[in-house]
Amino acid sequence: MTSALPSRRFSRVVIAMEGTAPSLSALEAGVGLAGAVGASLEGLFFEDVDLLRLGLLPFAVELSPLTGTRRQLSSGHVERTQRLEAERLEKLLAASAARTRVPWSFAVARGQRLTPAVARDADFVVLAPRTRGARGSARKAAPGPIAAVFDASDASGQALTAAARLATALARELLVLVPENGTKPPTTRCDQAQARLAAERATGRFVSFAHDQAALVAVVRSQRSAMLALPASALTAWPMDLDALLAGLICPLVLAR
Amino acid sequence: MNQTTRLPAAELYQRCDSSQFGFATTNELEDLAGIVGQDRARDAIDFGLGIDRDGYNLFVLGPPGAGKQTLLRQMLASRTAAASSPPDWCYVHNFEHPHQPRALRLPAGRGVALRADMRQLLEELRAAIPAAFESDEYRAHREQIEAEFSERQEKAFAELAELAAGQDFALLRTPTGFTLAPVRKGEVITPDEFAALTDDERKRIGDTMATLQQKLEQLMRSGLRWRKEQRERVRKLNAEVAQYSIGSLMEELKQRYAALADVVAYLGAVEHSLVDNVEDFRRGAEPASPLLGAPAAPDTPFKRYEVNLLLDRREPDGAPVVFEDHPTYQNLIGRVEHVPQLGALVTDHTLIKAGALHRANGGYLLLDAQKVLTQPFAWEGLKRVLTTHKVRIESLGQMYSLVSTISLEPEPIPVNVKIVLFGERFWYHLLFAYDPDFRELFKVAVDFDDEIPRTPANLDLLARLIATIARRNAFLPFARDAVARLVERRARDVEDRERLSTHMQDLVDLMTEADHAARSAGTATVGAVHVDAAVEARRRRAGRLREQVQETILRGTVLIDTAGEKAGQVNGLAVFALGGEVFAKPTRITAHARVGDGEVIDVQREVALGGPIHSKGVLILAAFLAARFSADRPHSLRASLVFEQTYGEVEGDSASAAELCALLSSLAGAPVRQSIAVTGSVNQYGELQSIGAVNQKIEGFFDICKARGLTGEQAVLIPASNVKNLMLRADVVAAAEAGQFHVHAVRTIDEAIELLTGVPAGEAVVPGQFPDGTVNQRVAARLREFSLTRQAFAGIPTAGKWRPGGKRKRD
Repeated sequence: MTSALPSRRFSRVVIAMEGTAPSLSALEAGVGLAGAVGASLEGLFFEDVDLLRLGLLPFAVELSPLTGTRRQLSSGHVERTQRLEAERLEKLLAASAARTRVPWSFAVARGQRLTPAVARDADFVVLAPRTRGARGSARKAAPGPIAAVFDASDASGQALTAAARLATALARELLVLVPENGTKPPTTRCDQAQARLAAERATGRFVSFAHDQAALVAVVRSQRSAMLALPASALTAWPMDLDALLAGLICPLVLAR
Repeated sequence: MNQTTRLPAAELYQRCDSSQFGFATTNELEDLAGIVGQDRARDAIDFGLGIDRDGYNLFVLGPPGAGKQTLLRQMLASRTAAASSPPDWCYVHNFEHPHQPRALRLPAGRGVALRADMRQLLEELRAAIPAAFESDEYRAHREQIEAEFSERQEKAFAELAELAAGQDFALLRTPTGFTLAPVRKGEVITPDEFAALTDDERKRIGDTMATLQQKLEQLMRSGLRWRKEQRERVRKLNAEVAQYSIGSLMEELKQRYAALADVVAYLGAVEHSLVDNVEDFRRGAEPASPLLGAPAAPDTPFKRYEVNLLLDRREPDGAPVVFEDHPTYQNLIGRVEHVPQLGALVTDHTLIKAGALHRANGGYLLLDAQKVLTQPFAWEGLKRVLTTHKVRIESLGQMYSLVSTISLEPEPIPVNVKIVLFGERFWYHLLFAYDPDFRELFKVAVDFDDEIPRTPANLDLLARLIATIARRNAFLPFARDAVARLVERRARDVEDRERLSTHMQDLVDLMTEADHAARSAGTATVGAVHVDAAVEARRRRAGRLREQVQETILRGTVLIDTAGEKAGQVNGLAVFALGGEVFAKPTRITAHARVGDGEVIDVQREVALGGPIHSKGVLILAAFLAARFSADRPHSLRASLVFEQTYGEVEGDSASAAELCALLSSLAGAPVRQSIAVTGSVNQYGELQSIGAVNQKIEGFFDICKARGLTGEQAVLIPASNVKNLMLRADVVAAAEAGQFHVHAVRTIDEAIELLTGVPAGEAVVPGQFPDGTVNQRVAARLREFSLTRQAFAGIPTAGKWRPGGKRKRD
C-alpha cells in the first residue's frame, strides 16, 4: 500500500540488453530516465547462452536476412558477434550518456538469461521490446506519451514518479494507467496517483484498463506510448509473462522496484 | 617691316558681342532640352532607335565629354516612356533535370505574385502536411498496414518456431541473422549430449534441420516481399494523404495562372514533386530523436520550390534603359553564385543572378566600348548574345573547364535588346577594320561632331545650354558678357574663330570654375571677368613646366635671340602637350650649306630624333630648293638643318618654313631678324600651309619677348591660312593694338624671307634667273657656284651648260 509519499531519491538505472533485441529504444529510454531522476546508469548486456552453446555444435548454420545466405556458425564466430554487439551497445550508451551528462557504466553478463531477477539492487530496469521476424523490423520508439501503471503498490509509486519526471523533462504527456479489478476501486487509486503527481508538480491523463496483461499491451499500443513504467511486483502479483509482454509492446519497458 | 602682311589687332581675336544677346543673365533663358548642334548624330540616333532589325545597334563615336550620353538619354526618354514594360523573368527548379533550371516568362508584375504565391503555398503545406500525417485517421491507416505486416511476419515466424519446437528445435536470433538449434528440455543440446546421440538420431536431427532451414529461407524471402508490399502500401497511403492536402491548394494556384501555360506546367511539376517528397515536410515537423529531442533537420529541401525572381517589372516604367558602368563578362551575362556548405561549394536556381543584358531586355543597354573591350571575354559574350538573341549564363570557369565545382546550366533567356556603345572614334574604326562581326552587329554609327558653326542661331542655343547647365548645377546666373566670353572660349578650344567646340564637359568645368571665382568674389552673377579669372587660374595651375621652359630661355641656358640679325638662323616654334596643357616655346633652327651632292641633312632624323612627318617636311623643302634653283644643273648642295638644344623627338612639319628660311638665309648670306619667329609648313611650290596650335605658338614667343621687353619689332610669322584660327590671349591682342608685337600672315616662302631679311625675295624673270641683289638671285648664284666647284673637282669642263642626262651643250 502506498499513499502520497515524499519523493524518493533514485540511485541506479539498469538497461538490460540482449544481443538479439532492438536495444536502441531501451537505451534512449534508460538514458532519458537516468537523467530525469538523477540516477547513475548501468548498461548490462546478456550474452545468449543458447547461441553460445549452439556455436559448439558441428552443424550450426546461420541464415542472414540481409543477404539470404547460409553461414556455418562456430563458437568463435558466436563469441565474436556477441562481443561486437556488446561493444556497439556500449559505444551507443557512452555517446547518449555523454550528451545528457549521466554517469554510466557497462557490464557483460555471460551464461545468464535475462529474467526479472537481474539487477536486484537497481531502482529501475529498462528492457527493450522484442520482435520476431527480420532484424530490420525493430520498431522506433513512438513519439507518444510516457505511460506508467499505478496499482497502488510501492513499486508502482516509484514507476509513476519516474514516469512523471521523465515526462516533465521531455515535455511529454504523462499517461497514468490504472488497472480496474484491484481490491480498492479505481477512483481511490486515481486519487493516490494524483497525490503522487502533486508531489512531483506534475499532471497526467488517467486511463483505466482490465487487470490483465493483454489489456495492458492493448492500451499501451493504442496510446502509442513512448515508454511504459511498470512495477516489477506486477510480474509476479498479476502474474505476467515477461517474454510475452516484451513481445507485445512496441516501446521500452521500465520495471520499477 | 612689310605692312601688308601685318594683321590688325582685330584679326587676332574674334570677339563675341554680348549686346547681341537679348537677356541680362541666364536666369531669363529657358532650359534647352537637348544639346547644341549635332544634327547628324541626332538623325543617326533617331534612325538607330527607330529601326527594329537585327544588327542595327548603335556605336556612338566622338570625343569624351561631347554630350553623347546626354543626347542619347534625352532621345531615349521620349521613346521608352511610351513603350510597354517588358515581361518578368523567373528561374525555377527543373524537376526533371535539376542542373538545368527553367526560365519562366510572366507578364510584368506577375513574377512577384508567383514568388509570393509559392512562398504562401509552402507555408501552408508545411503546416497542413504534418497535420494530415499526425491525424488519428492517418495513424490508424498506417498502424493498420504496419500491424498487418508485423502480424503476418510474426505469425509466420511463430508457426515456424512452433513447427520447429514440435521437432525439438528452437528458432533463435543471432546479431546477424537466424539459426535453428536442436533442444532438449527447452535448452540447446550440448556438444556432449550431441556426441552421445546415435547415428540415426544425428541423421534425424540433420534432416530435420535441413527441412527447417529451407522453410526459414522461404520465410525470409517472403518477409522481403511482404516488406516491399508494406512499403508500397505506405507510400500509396502517403501519396493519397499528400495529394489530398496539396491538391486543393495547387488547383487554386493553377486557376490563378490558367492563362500562362508555362506556369501551369511548372505548377504541375511542383505538385508531383510535393507528393513524391512529402517526407521532407514530415521530417520538418518531427525531431530526429523522439526521446532525446534532437533538433529538427534543416529545411533545405524546400528551396527547390522557391521562385527566383530574376527580373521584377512591377513598376510600370516603360522600356528599361540600363547603363552598365562595369561591364565585366559576369555583369553583362549574369552569374551563378555558390555558397559553402560542409566544405563544398554548392548552388541552386535561387543563386542565379541577372546581368545587365537581362535587366535591359526589352529596352536599351548602354555601354562604354573601351570598358567592354578591355574586360576579358565581355566583348565575345556580348556578341554571342546579339547573334543568338539569348542570354546563356555560363561561368568563365565552366567555359574553359577551369573548375570542377558542380554548377548549373540555366535555361537561356531570349533577349530583345538594343545595344548602344559609346567610344572614341579610333575604337569604332579599329573594330570596323579588324572585327568582321562588328560591322554586322553595329550598323548604326552615331558620329558626334567636335565642333559646330559659330552662327547666331547656335549662339542662342549655346546661351540656353549655358543657362540650363547653370540651373542644373545650382550655379550663379551667368551675365551675358560671361556667356559671350564662354562662346569665345568655345571658339578658342577648337582653334577656329568661325566654329564652336561641342565638348560639353569642358564647358561645364569652365562654368564650375567661373562660378567658384564669382562666389569667391561675392558677386551675385558670374561675369566675363570671372570666366577670365577661371581661365587664368587654370593656366597658372598647369603652368609649372611652361614657366620652367621659359625660364631656361630667359636665363640664357637655351639660346634664343629676340633681337639682332644672323644668317642661317631662324626662330622656330615648338609645341608641347603635357597633361592637358598645350604650350609652345621658341626653338633655334640653324642651317649650313656647302658643296655636295644635293642632299639636305636633317640632323634630327640622322640621330633618330625626327619623326616621319618632320622628315617629310625636310625632303619637301629640299625638293623645292632643287626645283627652283637647280632645274638645269646638278644640285650640288650639301646642307644641314639642326633644331638647336632639343633633346627629344621632333615631329610635325610646322617648322619646315622656318627651316627653309634658315637655309635660304645661309645660302644667300642674308641675315635673318631674330625678333621674328616663324611657323608654318611649306610645299614644293614654296607656298605656306596651315599648322596646328597657332595660338599657343604665337603666345609662346610673345611670353619670351614680353619678359625681355616688347620692342615693336617682335613678331610671329604665320601662314595666311591660319588667320581664321587666331583666338589669341587678351594680352597678346593688347600688345598688337599698342604696336608692341605683331603677327604677320604670309602666303609664300618669298614673302617670309623678305620679312625676315628685309631683302626682296626676287621673282624669276625666266626660270632660274632672278633680279640682282634679291635673296633668290643670291641663292641661285651660290648654288651655281657650288655646281661649278663640284664640276671642277670632278674634272668636267665648266664652260658648257649642264643638261639632264649628263650631256653637255656649249652656249
